[in-house]
Amino acid sequence: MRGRNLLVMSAVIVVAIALVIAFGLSGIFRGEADQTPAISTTPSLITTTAPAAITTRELPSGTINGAGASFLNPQMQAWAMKFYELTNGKIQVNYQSIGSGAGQAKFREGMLDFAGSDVPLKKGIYNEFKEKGGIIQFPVIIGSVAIVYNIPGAESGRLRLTGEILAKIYLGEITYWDDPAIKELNPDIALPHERIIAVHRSDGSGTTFVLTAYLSKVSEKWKEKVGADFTVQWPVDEIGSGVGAKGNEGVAAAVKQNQYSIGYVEAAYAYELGLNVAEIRNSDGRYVLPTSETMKAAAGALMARLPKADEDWSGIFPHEVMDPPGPDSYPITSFSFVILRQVYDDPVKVELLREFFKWVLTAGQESENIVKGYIPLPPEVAEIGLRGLEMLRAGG
Amino acid sequence: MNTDKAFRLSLFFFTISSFIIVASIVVSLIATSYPIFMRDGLSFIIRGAWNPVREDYGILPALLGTLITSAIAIAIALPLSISLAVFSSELIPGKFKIIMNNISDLMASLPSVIYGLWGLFVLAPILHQFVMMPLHTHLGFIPLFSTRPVPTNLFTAGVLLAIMIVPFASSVIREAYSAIPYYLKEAAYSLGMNRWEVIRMMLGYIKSAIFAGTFLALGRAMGETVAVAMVVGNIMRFPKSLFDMGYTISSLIASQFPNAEVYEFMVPALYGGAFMLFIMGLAINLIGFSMMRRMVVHR
Amino acid sequence: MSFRKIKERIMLGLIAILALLSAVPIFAIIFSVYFEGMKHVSLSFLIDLPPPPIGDKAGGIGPALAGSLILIALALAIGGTIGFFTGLFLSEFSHTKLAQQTQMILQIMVEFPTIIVGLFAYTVLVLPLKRFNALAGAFALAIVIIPYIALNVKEAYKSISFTLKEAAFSLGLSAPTAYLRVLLGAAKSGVLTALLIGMAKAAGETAPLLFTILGSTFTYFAGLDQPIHAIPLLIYNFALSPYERWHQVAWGASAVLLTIILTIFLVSRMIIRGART
Repeated sequence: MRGRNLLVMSAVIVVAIALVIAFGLSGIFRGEADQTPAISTTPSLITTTAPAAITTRELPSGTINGAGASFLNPQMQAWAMKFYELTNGKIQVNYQSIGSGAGQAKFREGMLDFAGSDVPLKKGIYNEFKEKGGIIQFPVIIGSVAIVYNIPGAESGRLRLTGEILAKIYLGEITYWDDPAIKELNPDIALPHERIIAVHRSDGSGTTFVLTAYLSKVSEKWKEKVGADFTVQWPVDEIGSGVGAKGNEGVAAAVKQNQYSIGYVEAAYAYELGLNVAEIRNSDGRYVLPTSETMKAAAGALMARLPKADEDWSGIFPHEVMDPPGPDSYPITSFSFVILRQVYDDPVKVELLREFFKWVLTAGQESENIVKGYIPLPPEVAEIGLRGLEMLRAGG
Repeated sequence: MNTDKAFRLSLFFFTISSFIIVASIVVSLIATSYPIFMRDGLSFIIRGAWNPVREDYGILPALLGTLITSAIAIAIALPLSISLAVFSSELIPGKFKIIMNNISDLMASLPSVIYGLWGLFVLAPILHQFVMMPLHTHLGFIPLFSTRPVPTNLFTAGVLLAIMIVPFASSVIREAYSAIPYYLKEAAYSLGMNRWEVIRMMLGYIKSAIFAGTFLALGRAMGETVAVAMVVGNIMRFPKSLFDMGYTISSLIASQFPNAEVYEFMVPALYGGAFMLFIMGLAINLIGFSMMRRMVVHR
Repeated sequence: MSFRKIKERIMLGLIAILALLSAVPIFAIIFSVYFEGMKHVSLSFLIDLPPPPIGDKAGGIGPALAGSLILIALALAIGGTIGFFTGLFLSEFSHTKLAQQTQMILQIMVEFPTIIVGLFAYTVLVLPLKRFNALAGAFALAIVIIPYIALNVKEAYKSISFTLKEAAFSLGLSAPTAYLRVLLGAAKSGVLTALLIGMAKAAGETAPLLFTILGSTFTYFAGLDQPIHAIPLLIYNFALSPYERWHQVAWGASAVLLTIILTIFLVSRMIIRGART
């Protein structure tokens, strides 16, 4: 029997050592992180932005795990970091950028406390959750897709395009820059007889979803042939003029490297990465760039059509809200969403989520908490989320 | 003797756990990919499509990507690893030999994510500027170089893989080389052969080891994920040239699996791809091992 | 000079050039990683939370480093135990059919695409638990390192001289005592090297972690059933992100990872050399 005991003992010891190391380390690291003022904050910020609720009331502590849209990532990290500081490290919001589609997929499997997404929950998933206690989804920031291009000699803001032309380019029907349709809109640019290289995302992406929804709205043929989704099969690839790239940065890099190319990225990146942005014709016939004004105008025009947080948004979003009315509206404007369940097993989780997103939709929308290039919500749109948060509850 | 029996039993238990793991992996691959094979049959493997809107998947372009990147890797790595093996066992004195072998072993143990990071930020721009663009500009009429390259593409992935697999191939060759009986070499020299002729003869003698090393390295190259995903370009279409961007099976899984559960058939499709990768890897490794065994017999 | 002579010169020269060429990348990589990475590495870099992508906060890789150490320890505990006893079996019962088949299986496992192991861990440990978790990552890493440890432990026990084995058993020691006390002493350096090889693998593997641990921004360790971060995953995510600040952190993290790998490598070489003399 001694042998067996020895064996069991050695196994136990190995496991025990591993656990001690694991827990010991975590203790050490936690301790150090708490003591070191590693995340230094200027005191003025705290006093100006901390809502009274956060500083006076006893807060729950813990981690909430979310993942999804990469566009949302810089802003979510900024919010999470600020909130971490405001709560003295008690509430830790862990957001990983894995893409909108991935966010929805993992949320569907119940692996995330919340998902970030550039489009609302897909209909099928929404219906699944409706039977399991329901969904809360609401916009947290305005986003829009900028059309970017690289034509030597044509600087930013010079090129004018319409949705139909854009659809035809990605359908592979307009293949040269000196196509009569493009020439007609741009009499002052010397458009060369060069093939249009159409850059698109290769990974599943909310940006692609928004763009393809826009193309579906303005082009019947696009709607029939391609449709709108996180990943689509690009007709332009089949004629050999398409280039796929991973992430907004990949698209930006591909557009920069390839002369005579066109691509699409989130507007915030387009400016951050210094790309040439095209003017797009809106439904009033005016040519507009994605700017803070035109995006806000579009969001304002959408306001009346927005559903409540517990309703299914997929019917109108993003397809129906594309190309909104108004002389100043930028046609490819959308929102980034946060998606929650209505019911969580853990009451603490409910409180953490409510505290964080309440802050995001109020103080979080103030300009000092908004990352450069992002556009805060109009208060009326933020209200959708605040109403929605009231539906959060704990239950088995 | 009860103790010994218990001990043996537990040894047995630990030993079969590897079988259990491998068997469960195979079962999970088959069970999860089953729906796509049932729905599409072989057309899933022999077509190109990645259209989640229509739930239409065909992985041939990614299979080709895997084969092309591995072929580039082997074409570059083979002369390098043979040279490295010969150089360290034949041409340099003992002390340097150890250093050389250590360098080679260190290369084998570097994490692939570090290769990937370096490949993405250092190797890809260099290759783009000094290799791919000149080849495309001057030899663009050859179909292999016909695509105007961006830095991350199949060729870059192949070169990076070559760098990563050299140590594996060369250590197999090195071991076989050093196991050649000494009298053979002596005999060859006494026949009046010069050093190169002796080396050539010895390489002929360990031909099967060279094949084995190549096949094992090929297996590595086909399965490598992270480093490839960082430099291959990640686009689903039939590659038109070496400079085209593409997918490999493993990089397809890495970049598409996270959002797969949104769709009905994407998870089975990706597991189907993983299953194909497993089958291909298994076949190549079995060939490699049988070569290696033949080499032992040969000796 | 004869044609043969010229040919010999050329071929030997070519071999030398190609051999040296194949060693260039490793130096280039080590140089780039330290050159780009060390600028950002400091004590606080090892402890602090990762910085937001936009802005110029210093930040660090604290959660990833802590997570990596935990994952390595767990993977070694699981994979090391299975690998060690499998290796022992392989060396002592090498004549059995089971041993030969195990050897084959292990060799296949060495060549297994690690992304498939990641998928497997996702299926058996993430889906059922409905949460990304540290255990799934450690389990996947353990599967990856089992064959390396088993095959090396086998060599270690095989290298023990027959007379020592005879002596141990003729003393009437029970099998566990003989193998785990007496003979382990003789195989010590080999077994230790095996564990170190497994450790280096566990430290550097990324693909098994892609679908299993999610990653974390603020939390160093919250439990085995919770998400955790790891250095390779951080490098992968940050390198592929569009932010310059995160690229810098990825380089810094690579320098840390490379240092860990180099240390393990040097220690294992020292052990081997110590055993030889």
